[in-house]
Amino acid sequence: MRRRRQRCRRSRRADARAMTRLIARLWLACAFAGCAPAPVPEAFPQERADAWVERYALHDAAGVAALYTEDAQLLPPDAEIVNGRAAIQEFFARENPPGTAGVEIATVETRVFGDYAYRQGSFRFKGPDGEAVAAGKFIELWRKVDGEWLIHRDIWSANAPPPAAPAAAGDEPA
Amino acid sequence: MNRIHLASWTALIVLLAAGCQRAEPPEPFPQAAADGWLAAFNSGDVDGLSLMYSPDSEMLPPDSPIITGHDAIVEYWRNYNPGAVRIEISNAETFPAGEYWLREGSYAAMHPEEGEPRVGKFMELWIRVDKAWMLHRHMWSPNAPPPAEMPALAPG
Repeated sequence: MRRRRQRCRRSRRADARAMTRLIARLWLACAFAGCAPAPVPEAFPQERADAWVERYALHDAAGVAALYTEDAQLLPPDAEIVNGRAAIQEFFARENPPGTAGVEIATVETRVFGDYAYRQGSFRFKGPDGEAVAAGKFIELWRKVDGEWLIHRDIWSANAPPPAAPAAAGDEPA
Repeated sequence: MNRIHLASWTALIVLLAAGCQRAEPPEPFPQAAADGWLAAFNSGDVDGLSLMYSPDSEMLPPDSPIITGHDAIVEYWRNYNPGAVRIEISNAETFPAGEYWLREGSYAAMHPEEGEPRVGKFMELWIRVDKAWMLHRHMWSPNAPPPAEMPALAPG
């Protein structure tokens, strides 16, 4: 009886070892053949995007700028590219001082690819009475830096010319 | 033992099929396609431009609602009359993004009757459809409002 149990135990151990060897060999073969485990798709960092809206509503230029990479670029309409986090902070301090209208942002589409993420969305600036005064669209490129998602490129534009401005003349593409 | 072998083989085949993918080397940015867009634009070749946009592409021009879909974009360019304006691209930077490529850069657009080019910046998302790289999202804006006295070259 005891011998049978010992035989059984030995057999189980041998089976387990054989299985481990088999798995190790096949994974090795897989790696050599150019296979890699499929990366698990990460969710878009929506809470970081929400933080942008919260900080913008508080007119917290430093807080908004902290959501951009050190070498981020803003691509605002009718203005030159804003380079780097420090310049971005100045931009938001200038363009969103206390008392300015709030903004509503809607995410339309997100894609996450490794250390980069893409977001397309729409925005509405609201007047003091809560009515939309301007609407537009944006594209952002996010980048994961040291495990933290930050905006790396940010372009936006209005859906219509400003009411006081003359009709658009030759908005050239590239 | 045979059963264990069979089970382990089956499990591994399933694992390989589900969790293992061929590690493809990243494709370089499709510069030839980007150059093709520029050549088509500068020569006023709307049919050529029409080949450069994915079926469900979107264009996001300044001071305009989003232009959605390949056909609407082609119509936009037909009305725009490319070829009258010549574009040069500079400071382009590309970012690999999974099966996409993202490109950002600056442009200078020389309009007829104007001494100085209008400059601006752009962002593009490229996608591969079958074997061709195409623009999937296309957004740009000028660095200054366009001159009011100039004739409109864009619709709307």
